Amino acid sequence: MDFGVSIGESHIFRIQKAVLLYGPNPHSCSFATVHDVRVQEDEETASLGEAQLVRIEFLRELVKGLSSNAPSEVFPENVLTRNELVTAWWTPAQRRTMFFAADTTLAEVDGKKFPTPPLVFRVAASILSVRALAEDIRPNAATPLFMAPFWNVFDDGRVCHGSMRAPDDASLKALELWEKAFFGSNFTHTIRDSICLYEGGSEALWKAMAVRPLSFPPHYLKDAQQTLQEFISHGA
Amino acid sequence: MQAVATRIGNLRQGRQPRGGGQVSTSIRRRPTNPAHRAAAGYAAAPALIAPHTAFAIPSLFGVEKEYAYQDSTPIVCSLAKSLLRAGIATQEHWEASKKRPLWFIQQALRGVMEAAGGKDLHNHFVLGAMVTESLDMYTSHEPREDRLYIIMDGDQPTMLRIGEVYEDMAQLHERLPVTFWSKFVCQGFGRFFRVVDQGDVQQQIENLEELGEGEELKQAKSMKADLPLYMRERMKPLSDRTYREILHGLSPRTKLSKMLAMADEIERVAATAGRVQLDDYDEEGLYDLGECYPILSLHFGNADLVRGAVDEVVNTVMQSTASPNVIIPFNPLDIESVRAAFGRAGTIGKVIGLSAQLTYMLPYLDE
Repeated sequence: MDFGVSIGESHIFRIQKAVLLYGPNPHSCSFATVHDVRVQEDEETASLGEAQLVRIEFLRELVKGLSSNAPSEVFPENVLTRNELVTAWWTPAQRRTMFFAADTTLAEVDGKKFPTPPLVFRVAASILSVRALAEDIRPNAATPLFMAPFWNVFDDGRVCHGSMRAPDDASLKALELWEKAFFGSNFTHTIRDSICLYEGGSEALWKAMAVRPLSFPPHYLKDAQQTLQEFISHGA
Repeated sequence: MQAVATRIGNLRQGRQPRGGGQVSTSIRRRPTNPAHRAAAGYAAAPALIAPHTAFAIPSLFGVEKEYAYQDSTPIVCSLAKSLLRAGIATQEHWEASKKRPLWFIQQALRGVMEAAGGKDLHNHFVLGAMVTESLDMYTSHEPREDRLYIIMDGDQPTMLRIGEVYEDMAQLHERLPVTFWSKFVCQGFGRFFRVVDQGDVQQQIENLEELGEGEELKQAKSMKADLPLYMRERMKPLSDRTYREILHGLSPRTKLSKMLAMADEIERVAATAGRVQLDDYDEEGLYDLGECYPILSLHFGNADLVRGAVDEVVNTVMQSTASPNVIIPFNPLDIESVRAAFGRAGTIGKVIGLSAQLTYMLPYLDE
């Protein structure tokens, strides 16, 4: 005689693989290995199988599995792309308040409103990246992107988070919070002063923009040698 | 892996592992600083051993090897709690079920039925028992948190030949076969499980006589003639007193005596199960279901009328989703309701076990 119970939906999830992260200190990981997990016949003990380097394909499968319950969403018009790994959106040119740390050369313009160019934001793996647009229209895949002329931004567009209070996720609700986090925290240092074409670099640029009530002049933007498609794919 | 874990544990505590191996060898070769040794003394020596430089496989000792997902956790936990409070299941069941609520409930049902039905529960009949929230898996009938069911069912009959035994009984008394049938089938096993036998043939004959004409009436007459005399007419069963007098007149070692005694016992046990009352909600759950699968068929011979009746019943059942043979509704939040339902399941388990013992004495059809 067989016995069973059928109440609601039930699943047993068994340990299948283990991912081990290796790094020089607890805060950074240099590489990861994935191992099969072998459960012995007595089901009491488990051991790791041979290591294989973690590859993007594995991570994609993992993320797909973890996000299998993701709700269907209607995208706002400014969202450019969204999948398990990357979310990207754009914002039109606008005046924004920017803050600069007190011990910097831009402390004198701290807290003022500045004209900013249209921007493309991207969040991948909880890292914010930002690029600028020359035209104030929704970009397409082939639209050329420009360096975002802000402090704390690397050449490849990544933002140096520092003490920025970044949101925990990249859900649609959180996109505005990412923008607020970026502009709401102090800009502390320039990564590369020639991130724009303004004579005198980014420091001179923002001093000039502080007294300029008009829109951001697009000819000061430096070509990033990258299209929107390339920017998005870079983080995928 | 546990050995590895132990070894790593030893290393953390500064104890040197026994035996060879790269890990321990590298530690032993590390030159000790004489100044430290002198200053700290022997007692502090383990703390001075530097972390080993060799690779060690991380241990999975203590890591959860599985997670159970259950989307009806409140009702499952309610039932598990009631089973504990009612004394039906114990902490041993919980450990044996590896702390999975569904297995725990399953263990409880198995325990109750095996305790009553013994090892015979698992033989002879193709049956399963289940705790479920719905009588019809294909319906959208909304489950209720205060309603669960124990159901028992199967999908193929055990086909046995009983003709010779009936003949022997009829030699003792012409009404003994029908009395045995009444006790074993009508008031015993057949109270819970669908049995196909001469009762179905007699029903077919009655239908033909009532609704048929011409050839059909001839067929009814022919079928009637094929039934053994002791079952042809609806004979009245013997009284219990006469039945037991006949039983006591037989040697207890004979097969016939054992079967008669067992049928008497099955009838007695089955009567203690009481009647199950289904309410409107339960009836609604059965609305789209058809007849039950037969679990047992009793034949006079290898190619008798009962064989045709089995085919007809099975064909009818397969035209829709079958109703379960046994339905015991209960409220998982109510300890008394849980106790009564599992008690009833135990009683039915006992009937199954006794019936299995009885039917072991019958040959299979075509055997």
